[in-house]
Parts: sequence; C-alpha cells; structure tokens
Amino acid sequence: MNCHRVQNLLSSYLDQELSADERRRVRKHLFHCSSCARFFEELTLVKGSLENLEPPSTEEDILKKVHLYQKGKLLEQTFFWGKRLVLTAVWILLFLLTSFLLFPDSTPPDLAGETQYPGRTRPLSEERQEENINRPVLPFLPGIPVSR
Amino acid sequence: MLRTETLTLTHSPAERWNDFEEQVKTYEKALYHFAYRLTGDANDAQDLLQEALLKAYRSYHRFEPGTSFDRWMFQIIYRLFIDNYRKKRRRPFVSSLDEPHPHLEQEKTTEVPDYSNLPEDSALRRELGKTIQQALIRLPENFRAAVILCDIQGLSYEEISQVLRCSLGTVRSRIHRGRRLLRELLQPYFHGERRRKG
Repeated sequence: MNCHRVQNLLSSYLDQELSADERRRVRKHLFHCSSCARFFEELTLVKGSLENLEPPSTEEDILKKVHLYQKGKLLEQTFFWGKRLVLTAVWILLFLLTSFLLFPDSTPPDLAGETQYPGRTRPLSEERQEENINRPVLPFLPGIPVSR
Repeated sequence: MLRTETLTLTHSPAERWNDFEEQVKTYEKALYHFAYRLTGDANDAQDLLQEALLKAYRSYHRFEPGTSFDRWMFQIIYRLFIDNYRKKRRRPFVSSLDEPHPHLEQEKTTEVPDYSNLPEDSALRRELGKTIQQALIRLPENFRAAVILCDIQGLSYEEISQVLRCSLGTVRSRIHRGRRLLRELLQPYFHGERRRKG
C-alpha cells in the first residue's frame, strides 16, 4: 500500500469501518511511515475535538411551541371551514329573500286556473269554442310533402 | 407496513401527540445538537428543529414503530436544512451600504486565536467550541452533515448512508474529505495546543 491509498483509508481506519485485512495493512504501513502516522494523529485530534464538543443548551421549549402551533393550525382550519359554511348559508338566505321580495305572488299566472279546476285544464269559454269550430281549415299546399 | 397503519389509525389525536412527545423528549438534546452544528446559530437551529418537528408530527403515521426515531428525525432535519440552504442561496443578497461586508466579516471571525496563555479551562473549552464550530460552518453542507453524524452523534457509516440517502462509499469519502478540511482549518489551533503541552 502506498501513502496516498493509506491516507484515503485513515478515516475509515479511525472509525473501525475497514475489513480485518485492510486494518492490518494500514496498521503495518503506519508503523513504518512517519508522515502517514502524523496525518493519522491529526485526524484523531479532529475526531476527538468534535467528540468532546459540549452540547448546546436551549431555554426555548420547542416542543411546546410546536404543540401550540399545531393546535392553532387545527383551530384555524375549523374556523376556515366554519366561516365557509356560514357564508354559504347567508348566500342561500339572501337568494331566497330576494326571490320572495321580487315575486311576492308565488302562484305562476299559467297555473292560476289550476286552483279552480284541479287535475285538468281550464275549459274554453263558449265564444272561444265557437271560434274554434268556425276556424277555416287551411288546405295542404301542393308540392310540399307531409312529414310523419 | 399494514400493521403500522392499523396501529396509527386507532390512535386519537391526543394519544398520537403524547406518543410523539415522549419520543421527542428522549432525543431532544441530540436533535438540537445536530441542528445547531449544521446551522452554526442558536436561533437558526431552533427554527430548523421546530420546522422539522412540525413536519415529523404531520407525517408521524409514516414512522414505523420499532425503528429508530432519532435517525428518522436526523433525516428530516437534514432534508429541511438542505432545502432551506438552497432557497437562501437562490435569494439575492440585499444589504445596506453602511453594514460591513458579510464576506469580510466572515474572514474576521475565522481567525484562530492562540489559547496557549489562557488560564481557565472552561473558557478555553468554550473558545475551542467556537473555533471548531466556525471551521465546521466552512465545510460544504454534505461533508458537514456526514462528519457531525459520525463524530458528534456517533452513527455508523451504514446509519449515515441511510440518513443522508447515499451509498457507503459516498459516506466514506465525505467523512474523510470533511475531516481533512477540518484538519487544515484547525491546524493553527493544533499547533498552539502542541506548544502549550510542550
């Protein structure tokens, strides 16, 4: 193993992530090569410094904040849908109210006779009956086929 | 998978929250530490962790009971951090002409002081923490995350590859390159330490 190859393996060697054979070969190289040994020592110092870092402390209760936010979000969602529901109800009510104000007589004029003669159409007056009987029948025009 | 879904469907929202809260409380310190080392700032770390917890709670039904909760959270924090970082990078930088230039400011803070004459150990540790954090922040994000997960959180390469969603070879390379960069950045400090000891 040359120095370049060994130096690339030194981090894995330090973390004990090499195979038994590779470990043995790296160890053997370090025993003989002073520059690689120094490099290894420095990597060990870096790892040691990071391992000994003091964990930061926080006074903020992050979990509580998350809980409050989550609750607020839920409330907001409920309020959002509740608001929509109320708005829809108001619109329907307004529509009905406007219809009632614009058309106060709820019975349509065509059906006015229905109240007097339920279940059938209003009979024609005698004059109209007479008129219907005496109406001339139009002759068929020649050349125009009669559709069935 | 089916078993997980059946289990979570029977949970009421209150039960679900209690379950989630219990899990978070167990790993809260480690999660905050990870977020803090990634961002390098207490406020940013709090925001990142808060956002990650919200996201995790919303998709808590997808978490498989019996698997590692902290690894799952590390994954969410890392993804969020990368997304936020990309957004920040895309946003144009606007600042006042009176403010000092951010790059110059950063350059100023990366100067490594000599601690050889400091008498108090606690102060020295605090300063050392700051120096290492400044060096960490200068690493590319994917190297930084791999190094933090390995050296601070103590995860194995296999676990890191699952959190960062990359191959074992990539993890190996990121950790090594990250440590090499840190070694270069912390060189003045290490020399100071040697002189102090010697």
